[in-house]
Amino acid sequence: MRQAEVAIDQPVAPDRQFVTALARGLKILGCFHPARPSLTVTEIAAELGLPQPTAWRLCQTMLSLGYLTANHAGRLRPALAVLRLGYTTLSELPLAELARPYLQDLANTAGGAAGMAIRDGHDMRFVQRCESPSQLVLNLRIGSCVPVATSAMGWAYLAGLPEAEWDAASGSPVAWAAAKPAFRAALGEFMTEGFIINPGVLHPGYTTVAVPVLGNDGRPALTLNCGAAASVLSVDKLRSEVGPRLRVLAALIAASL
Amino acid sequence: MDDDDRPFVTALARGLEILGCFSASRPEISGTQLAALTGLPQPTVWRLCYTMVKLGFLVSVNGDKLRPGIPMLKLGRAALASIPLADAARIPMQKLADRFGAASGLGARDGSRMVFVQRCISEATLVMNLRVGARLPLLSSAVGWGLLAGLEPAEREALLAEHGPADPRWPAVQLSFQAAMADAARDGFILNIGVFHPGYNAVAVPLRGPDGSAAFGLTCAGSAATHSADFLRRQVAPVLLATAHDLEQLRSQIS
Repeated sequence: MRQAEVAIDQPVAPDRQFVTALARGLKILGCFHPARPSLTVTEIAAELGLPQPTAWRLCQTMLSLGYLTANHAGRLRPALAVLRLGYTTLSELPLAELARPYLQDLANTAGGAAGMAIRDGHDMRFVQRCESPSQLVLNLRIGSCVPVATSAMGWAYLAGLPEAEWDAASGSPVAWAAAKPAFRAALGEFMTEGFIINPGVLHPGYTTVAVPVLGNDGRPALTLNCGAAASVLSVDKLRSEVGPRLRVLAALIAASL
Repeated sequence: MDDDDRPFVTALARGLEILGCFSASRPEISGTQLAALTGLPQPTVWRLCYTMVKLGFLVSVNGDKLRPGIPMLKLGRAALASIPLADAARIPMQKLADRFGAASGLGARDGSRMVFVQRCISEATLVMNLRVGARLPLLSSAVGWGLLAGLEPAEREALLAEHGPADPRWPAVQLSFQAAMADAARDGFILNIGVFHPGYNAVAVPLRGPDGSAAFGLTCAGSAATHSADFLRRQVAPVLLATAHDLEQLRSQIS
């Protein structure tokens, strides 16, 4: 089973294995959020573009199972039972563990390795690292560091910072001065695509794409990457497939911070 | 599998049942195990899981296993946010926790469990590592006892009859529970002294809704080394009762 690239808003595909009723029911639960904690069936039907009787039957099912509650005015709210559908499983997992299946899937897709890092001084320290089996990858592990100035992880971090903070964050002036032109060139793509590609600056013949995950303060809280030997992973695939999926994962993780 | 002309949408119910199989103690389950746990045919489980993987509600992990996807966190947050009191209670509960170097929890019932919808802890104190969303047994936790103490006897007995037989700890805690209910009838609060967890003591009260029946349990708890039964009874309980009263007022204003 291929992992989802888009979380909830993916259009329903004409797919015989796809269970539409289940998809619609789960999308109904996804309509509620803290700013809009209660909804009527009419509002739900309108938001999802469903016929009202269909929305009603799905809501009725979830009411009878205790996943929704209704007040006297017919406004629906998600009930605490919804927490059993995954929140309880995930809410105490560290971010690195939460992201692991997604990073592993990306590593397999790329034929390389994917990871998560936090800034530690002038380095990015890996807090998660997933490798696809039997591939030529950089020998980095959880706990390993790569320099802010020259790595994709570092570049993604810098890309999330105001320019005035770049020099202080990247440290080592010599390495940074050497890498800066390549970083600037890569930054253009980041501005439009949301991911940054490091074409062999850290290690010749190894190409990596990375994204920052912004915290609630708007600053990069951590970074994600996915890379592989240039002989295995073309820059085209990095651009068209791996980068966009990394960007979606970053948004998913940012929403859970 | 489009169930549009049936009043009860079986495919949705089955998908939710599959999601409900996962828990903090069992975060990853294979398709075969899911079929065994739900009693559904394997091809049905496969299609339901395939659908949820496509939507991101499940993710594949370690090859053949599945785990709820990150979007499930958002659904859970929306459920917690649908209880306006949980947010409004944070400041009074933090004050309570800070004043007594303790942890304070506000819980609502979901079946045989109490779910913390708010949890405030004073800094650097020895407390149970429970967070918002934690699920505690109704029949042995202080927060559960606090709620049960506020119910009409008939309603309480019905819950005991419903959930007691399935709770392995119930026979052992039954006597302390009955004593706590007798205390509550006299004092308005219960004490849970090492019953939920050895060396951990708590005082709890019910929090009534607008219709007068208990809707939440509110606790204040700490290590037995610092929070003796006597301390909880004499010092903490009066403040906890006052906090519960304030929260009931607050609840009538916001809901």
